[in-house]
Amino acid sequence: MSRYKQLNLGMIKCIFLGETSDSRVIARQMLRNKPALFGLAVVILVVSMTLFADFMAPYDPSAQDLTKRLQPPSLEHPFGLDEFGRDILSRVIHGARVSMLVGISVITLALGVGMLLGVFSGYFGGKVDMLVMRVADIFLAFPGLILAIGFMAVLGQSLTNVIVSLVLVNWPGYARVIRGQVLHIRGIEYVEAARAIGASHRSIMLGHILPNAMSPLIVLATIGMGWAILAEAGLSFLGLGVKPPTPSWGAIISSGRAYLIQAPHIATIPGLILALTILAFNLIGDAIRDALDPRMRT
Amino acid sequence: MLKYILRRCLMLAPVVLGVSLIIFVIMKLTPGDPILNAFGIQPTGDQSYISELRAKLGLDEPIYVQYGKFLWRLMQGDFGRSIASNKPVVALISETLPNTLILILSAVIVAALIGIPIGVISAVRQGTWIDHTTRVASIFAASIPDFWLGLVLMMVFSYYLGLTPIAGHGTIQHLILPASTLGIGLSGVIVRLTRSNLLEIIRQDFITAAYARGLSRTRVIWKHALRNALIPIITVLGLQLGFLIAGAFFVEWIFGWPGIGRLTVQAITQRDYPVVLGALFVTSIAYVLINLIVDIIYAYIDPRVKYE
Repeated sequence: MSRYKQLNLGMIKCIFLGETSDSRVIARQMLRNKPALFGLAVVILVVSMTLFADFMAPYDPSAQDLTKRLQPPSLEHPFGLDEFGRDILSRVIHGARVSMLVGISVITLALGVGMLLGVFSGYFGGKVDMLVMRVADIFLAFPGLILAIGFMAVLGQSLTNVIVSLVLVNWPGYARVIRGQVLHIRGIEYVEAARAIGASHRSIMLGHILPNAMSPLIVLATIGMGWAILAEAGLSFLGLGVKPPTPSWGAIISSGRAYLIQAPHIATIPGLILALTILAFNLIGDAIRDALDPRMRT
Repeated sequence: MLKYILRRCLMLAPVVLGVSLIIFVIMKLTPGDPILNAFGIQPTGDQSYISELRAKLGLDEPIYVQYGKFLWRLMQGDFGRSIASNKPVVALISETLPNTLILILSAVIVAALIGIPIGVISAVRQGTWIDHTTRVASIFAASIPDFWLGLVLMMVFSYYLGLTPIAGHGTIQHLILPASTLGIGLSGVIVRLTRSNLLEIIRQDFITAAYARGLSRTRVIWKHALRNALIPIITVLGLQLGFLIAGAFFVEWIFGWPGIGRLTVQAITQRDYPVVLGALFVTSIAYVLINLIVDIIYAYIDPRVKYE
């Protein structure tokens, strides 16, 4: 799926082994970046849709009117109606809830697991490192979303299963990046100084190493959000995501597949919203990465 | 170099073992009784017959023995039989895997044909409107969901313009839309990589020297700079293969391309678990092997790669 996330994983490894950055410089850099501001606007809109779906949606997303089925976009229904006569705009607004819920849950959990294992692995090294990294390698041996597809095939359709499957696929990438950061940071003087004054492993890991290893995680989390939203939509497109009639962007696109000629709006408009949302997260992630990269500063 | 290849091959063993373990775990998570699923027996059926079958298939043995036997069967290429068609899973996979490889290879060609020239133009015109437009367009291309792009291309080129077949397999025309769907997304990544690598290369001394020798700009960029900029792109293409394989699952499903992705999705809808798990295992092993080959090619092309 997200080729973009993989590309960024590689770039991040190179960039963040440099210096830590001043947040004001980063904010200034971000505000000058027009694509990032566009991305931010889209993300704010999607978050608003998630929080205020009940107020923003003009109709009940499940309300059917078979007399108006497949109706094209109009002033009354700006995104048109689907095969059951349901308002697509309302379904897209409510579908944002599923997308954001999956995105936030997957990123939080995968980052949590990846961070914990990555810090342990990088800090202690030796057998712990070897074990964690070999397990990560095994998970990384499955291409992209395919492991998640496998899990969903046997676990069955549900929002929880989607989140669990995507966390399982996602954590190794985060663990690898954090481990790389920790390996670099643990050799820096201030960590050795903390060790010399008798600080405990826990205090060194949580107080000294982790805060300084956080920068790449911000970029990874932002781009990862786009990936998780895309992955959920992909699973729902294949009929492996959330259960109908819960509105999900992927499921709406999938239902529009059968009506590409009579009602192209069913698949195209929600797909465009999905693409714009993923683009928005990628643009923001890209801008944060550029702002954190000392070579890109102007 | 030979040592490096051998070492990389040895490192594959634990990964393959781990992949088989995960597949085994997924198999055990499969809902319902495997005997009842596989033989279509009702739970209220003859219990002595069910027990007999369970013993015959080794399902009453300790879990580690079951895993050992499962691994042994995998090593012999025995993934069981399809519940839906009763054909050996390995036969179904060997029929479809080559089609997926053809699709992926075509997508890489499409991506390179679109991505490299646009990346070069973007780098050469750095800072101009062409560069800015190209950069945003490339991020957009990389952000488009394959399954949506596939539907849009199908709608425009097959339904409205009638230029390509809607779906199916057999001629080169059938390959155009699936390969373009997969390739356009990848081309976004290639544009960005080509641009950034080329920008680094054209600032190096050997490029200045080439200009000083009186070579034309076209020759310097396309022959000298691009050749050096292409090396990292090969690695990234290797990394992207996983996403291409996953993308192929969606694209094959949409366009009815008879690859391993369509086979798997069909098997999921039919709850044909032996096919799903067999396809999952083969896809992962193919991915691991392709990555190994890419690593070896990279080590061969770039002598700076550490062999140790």
